[in-house]
Amino acid sequence: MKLGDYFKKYNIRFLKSTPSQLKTNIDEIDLEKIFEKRFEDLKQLLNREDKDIYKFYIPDLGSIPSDLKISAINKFIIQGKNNRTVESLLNSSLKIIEDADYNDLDWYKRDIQKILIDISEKDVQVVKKFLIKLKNFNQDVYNDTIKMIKKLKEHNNFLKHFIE
Amino acid sequence: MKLTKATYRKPDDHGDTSFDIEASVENKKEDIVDMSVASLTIIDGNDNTVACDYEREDSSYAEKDETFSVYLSCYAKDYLISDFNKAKAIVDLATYKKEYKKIGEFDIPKDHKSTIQSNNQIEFGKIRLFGVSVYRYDPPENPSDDHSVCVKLAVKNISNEYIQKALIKIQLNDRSGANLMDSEDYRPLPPNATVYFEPSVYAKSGKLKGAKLDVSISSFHLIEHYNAESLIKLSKD
Repeated sequence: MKLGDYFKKYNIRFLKSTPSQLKTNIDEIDLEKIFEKRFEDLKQLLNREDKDIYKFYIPDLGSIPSDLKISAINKFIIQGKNNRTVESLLNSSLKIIEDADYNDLDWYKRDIQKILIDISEKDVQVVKKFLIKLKNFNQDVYNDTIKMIKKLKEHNNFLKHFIE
Repeated sequence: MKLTKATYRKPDDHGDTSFDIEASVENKKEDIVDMSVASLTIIDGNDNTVACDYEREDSSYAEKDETFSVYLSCYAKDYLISDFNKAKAIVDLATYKKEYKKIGEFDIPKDHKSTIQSNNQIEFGKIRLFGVSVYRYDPPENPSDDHSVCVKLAVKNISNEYIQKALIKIQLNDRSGANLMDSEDYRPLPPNATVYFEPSVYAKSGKLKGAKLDVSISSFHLIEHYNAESLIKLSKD
């Protein structure tokens, strides 16, 4: 694959150290030889040819880590997009209470309440799986979460699915 | 902020050890978080620098009392750490709110010897935008190749605040309003400094007839700083 096609496919942009953003002629560079290298190596390669590149980024996602392998960009994009799915939010919430102190439990409750109040039909199975995981992890926190669901069910009908 | 994951992997064939960190952050402020910038530093048991990934921007989003997560990574040669059990990950993170303003919609100059200018200066929060000049780059040797249209815009920070990021976005729309291309350029704006932007787009000459260029600015302002650290563990993956 050519570098220009790769950038277009994944909507990768770059910032230059100097302001001019005129088309930089890097489209024809053959990616095959550097596909297993990292973005830092790509930057160095381009800058050896005077391309003046400061950083790579993807709009609405953020900057690309310099240690990321060029071949791993798809995984990076998927991870970035998944950050806001209910499954990912629930998993992050669960991680807050691993090795938790008292304050973290309060934080977990605030966080989980915000997530649960917004769930829709497509999230029901994800939440069911999460509750099973939570029950196995910490029975007390599970009981608190179910109590919260009972209180919140008037605001979101889908929460009725989780009350036995 | 809490580090909810701090792991390292066994070295690969090149002797590179990678570090993977996940941090969860709760926004306790009224301002909506629209971006975070983080750095990850790995130090050994004697506080020596082993690896660092800095200026990692993430389009994080969190309203008040909402939590967001960021994922950070870096790598280093394994011989830099004598005892992995004593190595630490340190994360420094700042959250930012976004302010947005549309600067205007501009015609495309008819050729590379003419310009379209806004003839005005705008003040927007802590920023002064000098007038916009739209011009065309010299035509390509082969006229059927793409022709570039550029925007010149100087932006001044009129405050004493360090503005993490000012982003100029230009969108080229054809005569029917269909988007042909967009481009953006962003830079930090130190206090009292003026920074210059020159984003450009390109299209076939025929497509530029009757086309319009939308120009807008977003600026990102500090909300809060966070710090956390953790010992690292061997990844189970």
